[in-house]
Amino acid sequence: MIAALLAAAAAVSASFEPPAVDDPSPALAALGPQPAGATALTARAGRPFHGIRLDHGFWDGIDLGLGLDVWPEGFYRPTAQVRVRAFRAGPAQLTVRGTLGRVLGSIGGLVRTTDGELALQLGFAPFAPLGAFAEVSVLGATDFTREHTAGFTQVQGGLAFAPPGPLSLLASAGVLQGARGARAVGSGGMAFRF
Amino acid sequence: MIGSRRVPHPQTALLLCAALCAACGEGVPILMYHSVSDGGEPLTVTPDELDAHLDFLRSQGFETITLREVLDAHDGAGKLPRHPVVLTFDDGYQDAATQVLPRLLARGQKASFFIVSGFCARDEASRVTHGPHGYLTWAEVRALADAGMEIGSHTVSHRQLAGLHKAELRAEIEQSRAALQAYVDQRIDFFAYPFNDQRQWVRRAVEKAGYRGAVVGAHGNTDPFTLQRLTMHRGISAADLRSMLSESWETSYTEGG
Repeated sequence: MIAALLAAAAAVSASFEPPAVDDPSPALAALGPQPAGATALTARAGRPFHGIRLDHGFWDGIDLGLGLDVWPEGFYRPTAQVRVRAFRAGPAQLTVRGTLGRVLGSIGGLVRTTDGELALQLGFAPFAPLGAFAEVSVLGATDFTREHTAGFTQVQGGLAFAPPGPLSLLASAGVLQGARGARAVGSGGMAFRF
Repeated sequence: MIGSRRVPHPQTALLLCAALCAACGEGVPILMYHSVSDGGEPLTVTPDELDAHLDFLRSQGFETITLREVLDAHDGAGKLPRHPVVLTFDDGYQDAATQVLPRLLARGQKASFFIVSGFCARDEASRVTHGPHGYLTWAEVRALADAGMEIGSHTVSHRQLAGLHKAELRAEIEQSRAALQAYVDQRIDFFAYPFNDQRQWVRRAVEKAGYRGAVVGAHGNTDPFTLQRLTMHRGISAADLRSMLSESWETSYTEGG
């Protein structure tokens, strides 16, 4: 899967002109969506899972991505994602993100669910290379049976640091709330834009 | 059984419903067994099937707990293990002592047994039998309790409670509890509605009698007096049980532990 993602990255980068990304706020651009024509490969490690994702900006304010989430317990989840920037005003932007994934792999006691997430992210970058964000999201997991269908909410905050160049750093922390309890979530990683 | 519980047609709307229904959760899974023998009735599982279920639970890290532990955790007086499950056996069949108890003890597992007090005989000579089934004697009920099993009430005579007059209803609920408490050295805090009939006035009577909680069948929830159970019947394999007890990674992750 990772090889496929890298191959897709190569294909995407070959079929588009190198982006002239002149975003006045590179930190907000790092949070996404990617500017039209730009592609970013993001790798993150954290809990409850690690992930790698490839996002490409197809239109101004809209990007599409493919990813792979991997749990240390031995299962994984390919995902597809769309991010739409609702507005940007000065150093702030509001982004809507939708993700759909399918849990695969074999592990005792874990049902293979189709997972969805709908998130609203408010980004703020007081300084061009440094931004912060707050995100609320609702998540759902189901195998289309009543007993294996559940909903969750998640609140996260984080930082993006985008120095000059193709690399940017991302970090986030928050809480995932389910019907039976809440657990801390968080990750840190790096994005490479090309 | 699995098939009958499935939503007929996959609907993506379920996903949105799920996302908007974070408060709707499942509690600790509670399995409802009846007799364990090689008899051919639908609600009778075979000893081999029970072995497969218990081995599966143990191999997957499920820890058997009692209903008391479930409600203690619910009330903040205790903590649940990471993968809890409650095993319940209704009616007080003789095979609870001869088939179930040895299997539980061999694996270090425990269960809750709902006894029909009026079916319990003084001794072997007066053992009550209905068709192919024999019922426990009081000595065997006490042996279950002494082995660390939880004992609950399943009324005096296993009648449909909703059709009874108020005095009869009270007698079924209260006298069975009194009889069980007199014979076993533990407080009888839990009740199982015969035929899973749990109309509102029946629930109120059970609550008023001082029980701490009650179990029903598939049409329950996480309310202490309508605790839902999964019906275990003949033909449920370990793989079926795996599916019944599986959960999403989010559920697993957010349940704590």
